[in-house]
Amino acid sequence: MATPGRFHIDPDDPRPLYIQIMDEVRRSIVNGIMAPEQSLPSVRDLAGELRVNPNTVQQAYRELERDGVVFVRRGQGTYVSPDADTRGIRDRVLRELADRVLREAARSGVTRAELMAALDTHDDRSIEPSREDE
Amino acid sequence: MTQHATAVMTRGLRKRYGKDPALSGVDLDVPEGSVVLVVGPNGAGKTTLLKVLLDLLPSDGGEVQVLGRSPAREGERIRAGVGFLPEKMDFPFARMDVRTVLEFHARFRPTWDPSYAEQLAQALDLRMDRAWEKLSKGESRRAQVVAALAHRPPLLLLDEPTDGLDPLIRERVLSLLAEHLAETGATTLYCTHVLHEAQGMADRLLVLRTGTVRLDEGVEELRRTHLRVRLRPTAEGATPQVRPDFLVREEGRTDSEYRWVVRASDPQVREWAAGSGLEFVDAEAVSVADTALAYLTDGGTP
Repeated sequence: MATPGRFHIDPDDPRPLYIQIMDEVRRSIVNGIMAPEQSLPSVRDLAGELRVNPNTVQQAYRELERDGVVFVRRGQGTYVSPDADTRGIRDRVLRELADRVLREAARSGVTRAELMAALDTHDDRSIEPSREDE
Repeated sequence: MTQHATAVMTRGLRKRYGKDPALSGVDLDVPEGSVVLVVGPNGAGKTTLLKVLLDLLPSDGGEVQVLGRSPAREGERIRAGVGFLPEKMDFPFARMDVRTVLEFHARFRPTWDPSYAEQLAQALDLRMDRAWEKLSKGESRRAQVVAALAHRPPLLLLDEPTDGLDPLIRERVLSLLAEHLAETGATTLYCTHVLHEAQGMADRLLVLRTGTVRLDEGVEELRRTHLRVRLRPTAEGATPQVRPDFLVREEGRTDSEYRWVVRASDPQVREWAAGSGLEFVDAEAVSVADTALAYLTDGGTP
């Protein structure tokens, strides 16, 4: 059974849904929610949970398998690869995060240097702990 | 692209109500297994289209094939093999309880699975012992969802499937539908005004306007070919008088910025902007819902 709310996607986000699902799986590996050899939700369960076309979930899993992030046990399901390149996955998550932050900065008319300076002087304590840390 | 069989095909399909045309030459090819989001303003012909496909209304001309059959000749067989969720359902057996109504409905559907029907009803908090006439709008909608899915038909025709449901049940209906599609791979025509809720389910988008097909394309293709761009008039530049051909919808315009949905590539827009006294600010992909909205409100031709 899928844990409700494990992955979060936004159909209004202009990124394709299968990319968003791939990013969510990578993120859950990086922050330790999903461990190597752990099973991913079935295509049916995740499609139901996210209320998306099952083909989209299938596509995300297929691409993740191609990237070596997950593997398929025939007839059993999809699992996080035991030898997943955690360094590489972490890099991907960081790059995707940087993409989003920079795009948001550009939309706000803020330069990269201003953004960097703001990050350096930002008081972390003002950020509420994320629910994923619980 | 792989070649798909076609679940629904129409050519030059026409239907009028008296003098009012409802469908004015609709050509449609719905690939087997696809989920088509059907959108259009009220009166665009969505409901009429579904009814003609099921031979609940005769067409006035053109060709129709549903699952390889002609509705005019084999309407009954088509109806038995289709899951239809009508926009409105008037039931003549109002005193019966939900279970009896569903059992009656099942008699015409040889593949009906009673245990799946129970499972769906339970997931939707639908009480089977309620009298049909006592059902609220939302309850009868839930009963119709069960009626449309429990025989696992190869084709679903859904007309506003979440209309009248509370937010929690809406989500549950969509979840059940996604799971149902994972198990059955049913071809689905999903008519709705609630674009944001349904867009994640779609792999094709069909926009109907005044009885004609304005857009019929795969979601991936639309994502590749459409952009939302921001353009800024330069100090010396004049407001462009000419609407570029690639403009689908102007989402917003102020003195200092235009926001457009376009059917064009990034370089194409940049080149046009440079020649038109506009500065190209940025471009981003467009969601399915916003693409649908763009084609619902556009004035020009593609």
